[in-house]
Amino acid sequence: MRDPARFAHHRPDLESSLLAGEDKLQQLMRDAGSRMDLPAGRVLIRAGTDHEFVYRLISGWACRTRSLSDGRDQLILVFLPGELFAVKSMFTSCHFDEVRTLSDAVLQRIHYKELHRAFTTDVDLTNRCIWQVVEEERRLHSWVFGLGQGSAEERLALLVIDFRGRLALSGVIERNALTYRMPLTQAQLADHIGITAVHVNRILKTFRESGIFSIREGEVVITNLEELTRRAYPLLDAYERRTPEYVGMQGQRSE
Amino acid sequence: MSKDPAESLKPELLQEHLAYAEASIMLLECLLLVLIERKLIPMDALVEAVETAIETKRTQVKDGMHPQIAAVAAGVLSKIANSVAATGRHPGS
Repeated sequence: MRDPARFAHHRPDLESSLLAGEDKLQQLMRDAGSRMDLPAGRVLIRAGTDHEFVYRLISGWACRTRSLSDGRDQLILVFLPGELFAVKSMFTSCHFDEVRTLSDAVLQRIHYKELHRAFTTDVDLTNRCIWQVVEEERRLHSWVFGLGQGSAEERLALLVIDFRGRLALSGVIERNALTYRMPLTQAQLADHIGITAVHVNRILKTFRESGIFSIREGEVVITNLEELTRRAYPLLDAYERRTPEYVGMQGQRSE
Repeated sequence: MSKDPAESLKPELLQEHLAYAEASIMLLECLLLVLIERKLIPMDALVEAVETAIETKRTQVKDGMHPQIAAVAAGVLSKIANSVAATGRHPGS
């Protein structure tokens, strides 16, 4: 988790501060002593409420979602191990969207006032927290582009590559791993990539029959990373295109 | 305002109706995807057809025809329209 490679496109002169901020954040969270073991599906933050905590995922998956009364849901962001989320608790008095666990998860949390105190007095922690917002923004920009311009097939290919890259960079899986556990159901995948569960099922079948990847009992197995990358390529941003953890040996990290 | 039709059904019958409704919409959507994949009907024409259904459902909400169900039905159809539209957002489609 302390690998500078996970700080996408960071300015080199910020690297030591980001790494120090990561260490300090881990220490701060440990000192706060609020480790939580939660089952899948547990709501951490209710939509439209004031919430006083900032979280860090130790293991497991979580997500931010927005739902309409007519049954339409959008899974906005998926949080993976090592990631900080609900950083906005430090700045806003209302969370507009729900945050809940997607799998059994272990988390740490810290009261926003405590983190904000450190945020305003320690530039390494400031950089680390701001970094999480910057990274979240990078992914959201890509996702907006994907939802607006990408085909259903491209979106799903992007998602499989995105999860692989982030899990590899956070140390959950080996850097060259082609399999990983993924707790999202087909309905949740559908809500994330903006199509229906029926459509997800059909695309998965196509990918499986083409020998590109499959998902069985919560395990993603990539059998042709080169072709998967080719399908996702229009939606990959410049960082993802040159990072091996996302696209394999086709990526050439130049940092 | 019409009464919600689901309220007058026995639970087992309601379950059966829901199962048929769910199966029907899934089958319909699969057929839409097949029609597009085989290039039998252009994607735009199918999206337009679903949008007509959405508009009808929204009109029913305004007219008070079992508005709760109609609103959710419009939501279901919106999801399908968006999903069908995503079949064709790439070159060569």
